[in-house]
Amino acid sequence: MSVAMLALFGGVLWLCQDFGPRARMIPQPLAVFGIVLTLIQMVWHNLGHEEPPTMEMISVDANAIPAGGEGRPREERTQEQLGRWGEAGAFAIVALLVTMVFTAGIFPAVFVFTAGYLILSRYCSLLQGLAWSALMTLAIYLLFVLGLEMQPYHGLPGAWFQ
Amino acid sequence: MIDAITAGLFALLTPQALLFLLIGVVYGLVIGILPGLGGVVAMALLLPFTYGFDPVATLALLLGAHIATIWGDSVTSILFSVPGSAKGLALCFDGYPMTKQGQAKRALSASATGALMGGIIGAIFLALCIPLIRPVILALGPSEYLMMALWGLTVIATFSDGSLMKGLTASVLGVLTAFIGMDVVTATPRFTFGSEFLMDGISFPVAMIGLFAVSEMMKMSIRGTPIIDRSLVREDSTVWQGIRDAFSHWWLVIRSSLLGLWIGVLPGVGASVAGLAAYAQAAQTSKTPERFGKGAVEGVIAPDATMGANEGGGLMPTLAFGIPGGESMAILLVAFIGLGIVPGPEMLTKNLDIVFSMVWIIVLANIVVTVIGLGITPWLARLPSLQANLMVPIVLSVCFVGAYATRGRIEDVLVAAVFGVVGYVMDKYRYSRANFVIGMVLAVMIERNLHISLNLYGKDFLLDRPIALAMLLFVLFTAVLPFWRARRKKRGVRGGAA
Amino acid sequence: MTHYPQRRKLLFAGAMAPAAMALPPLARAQANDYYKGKLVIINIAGSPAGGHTRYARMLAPYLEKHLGAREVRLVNMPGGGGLKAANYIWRLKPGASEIYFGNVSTLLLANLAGSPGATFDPTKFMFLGRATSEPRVLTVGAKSSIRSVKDMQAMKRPFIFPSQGTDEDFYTMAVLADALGFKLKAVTGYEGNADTSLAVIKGDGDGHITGWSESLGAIRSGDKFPVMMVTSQASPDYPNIPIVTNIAPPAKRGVVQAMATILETHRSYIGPPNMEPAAVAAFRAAVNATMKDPALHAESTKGERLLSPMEGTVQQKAMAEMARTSAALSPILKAAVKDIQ
Repeated sequence: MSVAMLALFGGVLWLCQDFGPRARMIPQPLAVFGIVLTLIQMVWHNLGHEEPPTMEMISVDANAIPAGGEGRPREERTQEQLGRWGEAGAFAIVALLVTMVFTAGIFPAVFVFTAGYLILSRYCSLLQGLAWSALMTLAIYLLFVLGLEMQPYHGLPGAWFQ
Repeated sequence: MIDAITAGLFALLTPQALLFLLIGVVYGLVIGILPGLGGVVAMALLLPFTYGFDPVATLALLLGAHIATIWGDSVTSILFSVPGSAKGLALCFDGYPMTKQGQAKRALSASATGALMGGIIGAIFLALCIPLIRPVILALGPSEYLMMALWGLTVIATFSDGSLMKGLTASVLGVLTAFIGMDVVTATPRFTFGSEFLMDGISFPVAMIGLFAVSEMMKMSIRGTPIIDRSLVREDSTVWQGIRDAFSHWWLVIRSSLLGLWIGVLPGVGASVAGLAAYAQAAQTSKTPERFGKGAVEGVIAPDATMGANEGGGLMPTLAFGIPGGESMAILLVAFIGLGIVPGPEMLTKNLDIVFSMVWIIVLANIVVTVIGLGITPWLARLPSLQANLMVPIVLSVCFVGAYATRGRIEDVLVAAVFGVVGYVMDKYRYSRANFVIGMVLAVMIERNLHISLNLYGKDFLLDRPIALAMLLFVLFTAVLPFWRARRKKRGVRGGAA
Repeated sequence: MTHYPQRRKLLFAGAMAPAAMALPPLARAQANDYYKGKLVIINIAGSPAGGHTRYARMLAPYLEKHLGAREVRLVNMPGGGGLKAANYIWRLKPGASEIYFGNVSTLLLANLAGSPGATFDPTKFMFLGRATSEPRVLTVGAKSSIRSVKDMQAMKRPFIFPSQGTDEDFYTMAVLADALGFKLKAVTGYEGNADTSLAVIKGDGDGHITGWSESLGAIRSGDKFPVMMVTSQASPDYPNIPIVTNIAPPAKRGVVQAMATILETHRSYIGPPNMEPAAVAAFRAAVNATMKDPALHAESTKGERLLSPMEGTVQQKAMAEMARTSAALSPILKAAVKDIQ
């Protein structure tokens, strides 16, 4: 993670060289600051400290508190409750939906994705899944296209049709 | 003035105006709840329907919709940690932890009551402050706005999840993300890699949909359990608790409302900064700041009160100078012109009755929103306990459609997905997503105002601007305060142990 | 309640040659037949909430009627201040029934200033007719000692000009400073016209350029003072404000005229360079007929969305003229951009 951060801030620093003095006035020092922060963390970590240096202050995170407020560490919790496909599955789900939106167009993608998810996750039967999904797609369509006058994206079929 | 106040109220008490107000509010609530869409969209879509109606009825429709979107935003922030727009961000900090602890009803009703009280207090003070509005707007400028943005940055320390280093790194990343696109100050395309799409920058609402909503759904699909597992956590709060909370923190509500009112009065500062500043103020002045971020009800009341009052303030530059303070006000200005209302200094003298009609609309719209809000809260509070396998596909789909609808650009769907992955990774390695967004929201404001200040007043601009200097000292004081308090507390604990 | 006065409805009605009437009846029928039963897509260079969309929506049903098209479909294509839509239209294959609607001035200026996003030659587009154009005015704050261009020229320090960034106003001001011979300091980074207006009223900046209707309120209330109109024609709306093309020194009139021409293209329909001549003629005729439709006039008055049409053929000629004189503009604009970097 730290190496990725260093590469990112280094890249920003490199790109800033092409900007005029005013355009790089803030991003350039910030990138340097980011590198310094990351290096401090790396050194600290390699010295054997588990957690990066903490400051005495209010330290909170809206998502760090599991239900009930008992402070179990997050890593353990995720590992314990990993679904069948784990992290790779979550990334794949997002990637799949995006690919479907770009190829099939927004509303067909939403319909197929929702129906597929409901049915494959065994939330409901095949027919119920199709019905729920059709209902939801219709609701989103009515809300966004008729209510909010959004122009739907038709994906590849749209391009072919034109 | 009393005449104007009563005339303004009577103009609003017609069946048509009240009906329009109700329609506007219901419509605004729906739009507010949808991710990515805020008050601007709500008003822009209503605009074509407003021609030919009574001016007060038209304003009731537009302002009612605008005001209702604010609470609509808060709802999704509290229930799902999905801010509908940048304004709702501050509500995620404590509202979502409250939901996870089975206090969704209390959080929602505290938020609605806070917004109502903020709206009313804001309206009262607005009426009292009308003579002060023009001088204040004229006295403050870019240097003072810069200080306000810096004050917003001090919240970063609050959300650093135990590690200030990681908290700061997240903010730096957020600031750099905001710089993607055409730099308006120097007309330099920054970090765009020749892409036409990136020239317009990364849209805040889309990034937030990704960082919060998409990443939460990814987590949920892995866990396979709902946000609240009812077998572990019961919803044991009530709507009344939230209402009582808002009233018992009356001093916080008044302070937050005044803050919101004046931030609204200043064009170019914006409601997203108002919410963050209110949160910072609530956390920094609390006797128990350690509860913030873990489900402190004050962290819900303060931003909502501020945003409730902010709208009334936002009307002022539009009315006093004919200068719209934001996009939604620009749309309102178009409606004014269509209605034959000429904004300008006369508005605050000769046409005070219209100004007061608007103040009354804000008050009534807030009341209607709160009544509807409190009524639907018990149903809304059930949503987080829906099964993961139902939530994930529906919320993901709505998020991606919302991301596309924000600007009508299909690339934004990809941006939402990328930010979803970024949000997931940040959360896993404990880089605060809230800090990332704070950096993103404030970056452009800081950069613009720094450049303008340097350009207009030179390097020593702080010496030329005593108000800005005083504000800087205040910012430094509030930034150091939590550290100092924590240190004192620690010493106290040590002393006690010894 | 004060009522907003009825302002000019058809500002350039006189400048508009009625092309549809000039064509012989047969040609007119043929021209109008081109789009009969077809789907015409209008790409609006702006968001659904923006001003271009409000105009495009008002005009669409009339345009559909006069084109005889099956459907005039509006598609929003926001991005890059219109550059995305313009790049799209530039790359269209021949025969596509797609048209750009939005601010054309920004396209011309982006190209002249060498903006990296502009991959087209705007003068090669087919100009199909203008819907509206807002006359631009240079105003100063009420507290300012400046009351005329002479005062600006006599200043010892540069004229401070608060601006959003490299928008129309920025380029216009750069050209004015060069042509009228005053020193200019552009302070970029303001949030929008609200912000720059306040800076001018407060006295942080000396003056700025806006649309006439945007500053009208502040001019009437005495917050701002109009110094000159950046237009090529006088109007009864502002009889006492000097017109820039009249006060520029003779050697610089060409440059100023080119700038005014660019600004006056404002909200227009344009087609791709490879558009078929019959399609061009048909679309121009339909735009002309639309602009004369009494029902549209009634709607435009009611909704305060004023029209100031200009015929496509007139625009195209002005563009050819502008292309000849604008060679002098490009270095001025580029220097201005370099200055703020």
